Amino acid sequence: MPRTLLSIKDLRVYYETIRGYVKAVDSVDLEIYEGESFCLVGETGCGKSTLALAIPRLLPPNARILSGSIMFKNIDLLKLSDSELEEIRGRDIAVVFQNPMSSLNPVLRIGLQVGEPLVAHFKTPWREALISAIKQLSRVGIPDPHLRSKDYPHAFSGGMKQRSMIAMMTSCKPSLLIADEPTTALDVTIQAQVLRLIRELKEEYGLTLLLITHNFGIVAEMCDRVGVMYAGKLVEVGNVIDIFESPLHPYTKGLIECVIARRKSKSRLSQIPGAPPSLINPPGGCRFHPRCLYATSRCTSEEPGLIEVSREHLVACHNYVR
Amino acid sequence: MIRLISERIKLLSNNETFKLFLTYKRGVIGLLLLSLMVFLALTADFIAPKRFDEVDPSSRLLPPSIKYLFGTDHLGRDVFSRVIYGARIALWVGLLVVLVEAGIGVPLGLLAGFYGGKVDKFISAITDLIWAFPPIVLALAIVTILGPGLTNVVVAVAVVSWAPYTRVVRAKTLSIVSREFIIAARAIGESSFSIMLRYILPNTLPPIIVLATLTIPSAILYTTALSFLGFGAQPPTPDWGLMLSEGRDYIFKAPWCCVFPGLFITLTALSFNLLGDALREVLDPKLRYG
Amino acid sequence: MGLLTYITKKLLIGIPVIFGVTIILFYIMYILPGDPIQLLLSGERVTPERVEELRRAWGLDQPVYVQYFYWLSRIIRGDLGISIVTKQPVSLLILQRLPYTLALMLTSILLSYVIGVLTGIITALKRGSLLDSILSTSSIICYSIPGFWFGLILMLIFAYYLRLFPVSGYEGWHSLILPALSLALPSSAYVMRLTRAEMIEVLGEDYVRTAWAKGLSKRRVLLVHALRNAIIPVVTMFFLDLPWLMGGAVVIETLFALPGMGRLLYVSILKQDYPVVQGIVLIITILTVVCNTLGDVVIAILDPRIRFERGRSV
Repeated sequence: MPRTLLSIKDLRVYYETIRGYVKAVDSVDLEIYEGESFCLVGETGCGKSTLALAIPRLLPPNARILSGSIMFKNIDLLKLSDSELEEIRGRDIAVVFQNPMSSLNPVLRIGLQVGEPLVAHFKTPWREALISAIKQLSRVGIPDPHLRSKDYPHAFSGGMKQRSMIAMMTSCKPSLLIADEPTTALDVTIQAQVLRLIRELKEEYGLTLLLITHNFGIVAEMCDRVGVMYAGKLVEVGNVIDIFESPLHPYTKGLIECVIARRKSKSRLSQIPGAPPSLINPPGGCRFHPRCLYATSRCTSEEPGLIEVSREHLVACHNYVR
Repeated sequence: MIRLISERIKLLSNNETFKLFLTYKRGVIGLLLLSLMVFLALTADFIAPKRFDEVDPSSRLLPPSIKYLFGTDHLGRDVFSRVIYGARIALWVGLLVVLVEAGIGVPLGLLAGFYGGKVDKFISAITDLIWAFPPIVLALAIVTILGPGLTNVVVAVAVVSWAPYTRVVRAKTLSIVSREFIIAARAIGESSFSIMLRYILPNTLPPIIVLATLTIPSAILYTTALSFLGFGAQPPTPDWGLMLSEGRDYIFKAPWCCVFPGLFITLTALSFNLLGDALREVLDPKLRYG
Repeated sequence: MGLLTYITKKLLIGIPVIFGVTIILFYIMYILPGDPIQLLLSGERVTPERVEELRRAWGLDQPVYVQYFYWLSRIIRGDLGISIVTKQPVSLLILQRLPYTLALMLTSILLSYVIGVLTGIITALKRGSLLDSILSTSSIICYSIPGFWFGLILMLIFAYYLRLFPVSGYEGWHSLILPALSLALPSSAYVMRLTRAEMIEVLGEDYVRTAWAKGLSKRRVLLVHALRNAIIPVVTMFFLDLPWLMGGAVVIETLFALPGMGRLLYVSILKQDYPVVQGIVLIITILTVVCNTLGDVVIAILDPRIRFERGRSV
């Protein structure tokens, strides 16, 4: 029985906006086990990034964490002070962000930026840290790392920037690596390389990986377990084979069918009718019911909780389909 | 053109933006202050107890009292009256300077943005050059050549500070010039001049208006500085800067001669700054949600 | 391109600019009203032949461009002419006064930027708080106040009533405080606004989030990552402010009767002492070009992107 590394309970994260509260994450429970690769999937705006960034508490200033707990190695991350968080970030929990073009400081050299975490967390002297940074850059596949470490970010391509980010974030050998759509902003050819790199490093350093994506292809390639989010709620969780072969939630079904249809034929895509709901005023009951083919009257009034249907396969649906 | 402007004003009053503006306390205060100054300027003849040049040797350098609200100056003139008449001058001069500035800067900006290339480089170079030079020194140089007097000061200050207009208009022009309707207008055979006038210029008006509110204060500050040095308004004009210069010799005996004119310069400049600041935030959505 | 190449380019551009301005300057002085010979003689009664003699001696009968070259060759040798009023060499007069003006400028720009940047950072960090509102509104008031009036008020309160500083004239370092404050006031307000705006924008950038994600100390994130970026436009402004201060110094020095170059300029204009005016304007021009060039160089050092993006309007 694998150990739980991260345990999220009843997490509620809302964004304060002029138009009201955006309920980006509305009561989510989730467990992530040590050493696994967990993928969080969903459409844009379903709250997956918010959930991921809530863990190291790197949310934008208008985000409010209203309730819940995030247990990491027996510590509730949500209750930590700023200085305590400082110690954990970069060292135990690391994040690779979506947009490498803007995620590196334009006026500092790459070598310095990659070496910073070592100096900050282990008090490594700068000389050593820079040498270590060069080694890291070499490990992630940057050619001529000694020379390149003196470059500024604008001299790097998107792929190289993202690799540098990965080097930077894994330099302290964290326990948990959160990757928020790490390849979405990259060229297709580079995407595969970066994903492979992440996989390799995971094995090498024994990381636990939490990968956020909207692309099921990536899910299939990278993950052991999958969590599907819709409109701020977790609607299905299970291991990757179960999700692909026997999705239970109508939404997951729809998504998988889209992927398969796209791969197989060139004829029309089977679409999920409708559009994602507003997160300020989400539909009552099950949030998916307006678009669901199997919706019943119970679905409009009663919100389904996550039920364990078979081992490790949970779904939040009144009428889940076998 | 006029119809366009009046249509816009009508839209503005019912507009959401206008209502939003009203929530900006600073902007509203600025508007009120400005209205006060405009009111003083317009009604000076009726409100001022004395004429601004009414000399009374027997009442020299009297401290503020009921009769002379701001006291009297070294010639026995009522400071209060002079300050009120001064509002007229300050506002008028400020407006003139901005008109001349815009008159120079806007066409240059249009040309630079529209034609690009060498024309742009040339205009931008001259603009940057003049902008970099210490404005007061340059204005002094111009006034020295032209001679003292308020009109010449207006020209001098305008020549020194038209750069922001050129820059703003150039930037806006550059952003519009590649759009389809310009290309379409060219295809129909519209002349460049007509394109600039009918299509580009109206779009540059909002930033120009905001810029105008924000540059009037510095226009007032520069012109009063030049008057203070003696190169601007000449006696007995009740220019606030000139009043400061005249009152300077008596500052310790009769500080009110200096305190009040300067205070009103500050209030007038402040009103425009508050107003312009709020206008800019209201009209620029980026700043609003920032 | 390398840093050195960039700097050299900028320096090389500066020289023709200085030349260009000397031409303009000379031409302006040339067309100024007032016959220099008459002014030189200032009312002495002299025969027309003598006037012609002097005119020829001074080369004033030559065409414009010849006069320009004579003038230029003298300038390069450091000969800025003779003051009509005091009959002393202009360069000597300027050299005597320059240190006071420089001291005043230095003091005020330091005051202005230290106060401005600090308050800017504080208000950016405590955005939306009461302190922020108070300081922001104060800054708008501060740049609405005319410097010379502020100087008068300061003089009145601190020099006259409180007798803390001399009213006018130069009596040592402390004589510069009130003048420097007058000059610094509007400038510091603008600096505060700019710093605040830049800090706020930078703090919202992705790379700052990355810095937080690395677990760096708050101080390091704010200083090394945020401020290091936000300060760049402020540094640009610093170098553009220096020429502005030269202009402001004219008014303030006159107000406080400081023996500086600014006051000399003012007095010389009044007395129509054109050689002096010309000399001072030339010095100011050179200083302006130097400040601008220096500014460009410093920015290139601070912001590596500038060196690589040629021909891009920033």
